Amino acid sequence: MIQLARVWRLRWTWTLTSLSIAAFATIPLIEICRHIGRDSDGTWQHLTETVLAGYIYNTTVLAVGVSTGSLLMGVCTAWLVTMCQFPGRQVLQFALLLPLAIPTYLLAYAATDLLQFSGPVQTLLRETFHWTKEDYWFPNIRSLSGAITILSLGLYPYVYLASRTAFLEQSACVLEVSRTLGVGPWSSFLRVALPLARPSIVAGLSLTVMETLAEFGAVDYCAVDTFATGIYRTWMSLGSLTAAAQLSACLLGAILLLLIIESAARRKLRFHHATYRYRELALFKLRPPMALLTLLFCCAPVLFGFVFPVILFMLKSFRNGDERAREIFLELGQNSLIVAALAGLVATCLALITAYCRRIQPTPAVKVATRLSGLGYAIPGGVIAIGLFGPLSWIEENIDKGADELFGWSPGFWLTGTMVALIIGYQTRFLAVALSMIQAGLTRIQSTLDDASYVLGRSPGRTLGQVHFPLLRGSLLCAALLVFVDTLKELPITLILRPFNFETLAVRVYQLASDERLDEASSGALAIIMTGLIPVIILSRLMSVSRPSLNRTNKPLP
Amino acid sequence: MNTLHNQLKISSISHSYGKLEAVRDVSLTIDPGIVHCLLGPSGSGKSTLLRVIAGLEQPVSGTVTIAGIDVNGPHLLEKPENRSVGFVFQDYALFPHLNVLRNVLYGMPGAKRSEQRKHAAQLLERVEMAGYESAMPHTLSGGQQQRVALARALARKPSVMLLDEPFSSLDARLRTEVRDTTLRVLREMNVATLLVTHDPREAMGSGDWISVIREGKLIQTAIPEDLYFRPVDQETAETFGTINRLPATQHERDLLTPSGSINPDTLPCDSDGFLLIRPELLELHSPGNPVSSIWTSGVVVQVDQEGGTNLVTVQVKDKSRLYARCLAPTSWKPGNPVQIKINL
Repeated sequence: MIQLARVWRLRWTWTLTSLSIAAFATIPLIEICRHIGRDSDGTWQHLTETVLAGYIYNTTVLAVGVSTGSLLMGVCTAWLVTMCQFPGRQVLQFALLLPLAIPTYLLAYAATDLLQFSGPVQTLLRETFHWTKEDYWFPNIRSLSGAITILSLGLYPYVYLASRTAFLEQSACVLEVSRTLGVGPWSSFLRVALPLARPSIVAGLSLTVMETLAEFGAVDYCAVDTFATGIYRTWMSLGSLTAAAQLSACLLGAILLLLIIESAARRKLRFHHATYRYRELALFKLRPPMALLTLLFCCAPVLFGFVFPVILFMLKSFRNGDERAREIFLELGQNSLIVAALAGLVATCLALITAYCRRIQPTPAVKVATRLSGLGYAIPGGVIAIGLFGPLSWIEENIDKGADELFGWSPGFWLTGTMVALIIGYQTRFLAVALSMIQAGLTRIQSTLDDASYVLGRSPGRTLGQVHFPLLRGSLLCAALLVFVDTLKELPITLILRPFNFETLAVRVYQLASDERLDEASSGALAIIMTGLIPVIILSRLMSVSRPSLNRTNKPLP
Repeated sequence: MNTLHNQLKISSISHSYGKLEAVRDVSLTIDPGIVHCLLGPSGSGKSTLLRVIAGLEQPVSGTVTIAGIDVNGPHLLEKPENRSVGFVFQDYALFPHLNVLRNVLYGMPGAKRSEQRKHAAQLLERVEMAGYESAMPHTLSGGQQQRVALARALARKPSVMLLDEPFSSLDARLRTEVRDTTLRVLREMNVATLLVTHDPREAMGSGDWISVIREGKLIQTAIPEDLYFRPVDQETAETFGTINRLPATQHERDLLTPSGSINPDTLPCDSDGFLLIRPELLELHSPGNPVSSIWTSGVVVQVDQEGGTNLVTVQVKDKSRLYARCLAPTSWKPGNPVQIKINL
């Protein structure tokens, strides 16, 4: 009887919608798992004999290298701009986020162009010192170490953001206590500030590693064979969906392991603020030589990770961009805008439904569904595309067959032949972005507003429209924008799932750069970077309100 | 049927969150125009009961009847949006994106726009908030927000009004004023009101009836005076202030206490057989005074100033202490011998 009464209370439509969104998001995973242990006509055999060992080695070294690089750059710069007083600090604390605006593959193109034999840097060296090719050694950027450097430069802002937020939230009291106990500033950093910030840093680092594992464009351009490029090549060149799925399964296994390690690490490291008194940090004043050194250290990532590449693209665009290239970019830009705007809109709607359902009906099933819907962000784009291709073709074929039998008319490739498949792919990958943004927004709306609205005669649906929607407008816009920009930059899903002859800006830039025609790609690259600035601005605004002194939600709890 | 109009009746309501039993077998009836206070410490299940009545929680068992209509039963659950219930939340929960007028209009049923506006204006006038129609909630003071929340809840013409600690976030001086306005309006509109509070003085000051709830169970339901002078147990008694608790044994018609024997007919006893006597009921006299029916005698040990009254602590024969409250100023000083009479 009790059970019956509880079931009665459920709002079924909400639960079902949330569950079906989650089901759609898990299709790629199920599809990949289905292929484990299948026969791939010898392709898998062939892969294990030839390239698999290389994939494992390269992917591991890449992940470890990028972690080290981004930790060094991210944590140190975060500490310096938070704790020390030196000229340029105010600008740098936001400028250090800028490399996030550049997709790593564009960074790779720029770095290669600058540092190759015929590039400006080496030419300058040769001319200055009258060297010839045999006289000097220069690092090859198209190598594993090159890829590590590029990815570290492009991805360290995740670590920077996480550690800076953590440092800002620490009360100066804690550090001052350490100082009064006779521990110096550097020691205090190592023994108090760093351990306290560790959970956040782990979170930022795991995001970096996730991005590294999923990285396609830059790694491909640096000619480093990792799982991500291997999956793409196995499908595109060898044409074996099964082998590609099996490679994906290996990668997914690694990611799962990473997620488990991360959650274990964070569980052990959860700290509670022992003091609720928050005091603004007193900055260490650095003397001129130290200040200059610090400034240089903090500027380097921004210069190499953002300023130089942007200048390069600008110069190339102004000097060499011809009329025809601009026209093509206008057309491709339109494609990109339409796809990205659609993806942003759909993701925001789906995320709103999922998050709202989670709010009004937090049953175990809905909680699991919400988690599953947000899982896609951990899955590399290539894996999602491979995992979706089979099921979508199957659905398409069967509907086609059915329609043909029933009406004597066939709808054709309405899924894989159009943008629909592409949009579905983007949803799977980026729904998590919109979801976390909207969930954060929803938690800021007190739950009594929902109750008040119900008691005043509104159903949950109308409450969403009349109360939550107007209050969430900012979060919704942010969510849509973030997905928009992510979609615009996206490569592997677009490359695999795009309809025949359909190109986006990112795809064209990738193809031109692969053909060593970077001059023609520069305008497109600039356009991508400029839109990439939008989320950086959003992030830096979010970061500036996360200071407890300005944040009303950080009030001490009784 | 007329008696059922605007009546709230709940029978044997039980509710639990997982293993935690929040409300256990609670039954109450509130008649129209009556303000019923539900008094209990935090976590006693009083807010849960309100949420059950409003339909925001589905109880494990029991029925809720609003204006003669069952809204909760074993097979039936009326959604909160279809119940004739007004709810004023502790944090008022005014919609921050709507101005005062639109907050009040939010729940107003059908009819023409102009009539709705007229009704809203009347309500705002009633809660003394006329002229604030276009103000946004965050610009209002706590008391003003509370009154708007009340007007908004009244806009649906509810049969039952539920108030969840509505005055607790107001400062002391404002609290009495807002409380009086609120309860006057509710009584005028003949609504059955259930007011939840953890403040015994507030319960005393506003309830026609008071129910004491502890650990999800109703301990006692009574009018304020009875609750004060005839509490069912020591804990309830001490909620409302100091009380004398005396072990007593039955001896023929009288109760024997260490301090003397008493006729028990008019005195409350708790379930353990202890006598509970408020300090107000004890009258102190100088030993020389010829007073009839003196109960016991002792020595003053302490006199506490309480403003209008003094609390006098007297040590009686067996070294136990009794408290008596007398109007200030008193002439009692520590060391004075006294005679005590129970004043009924």
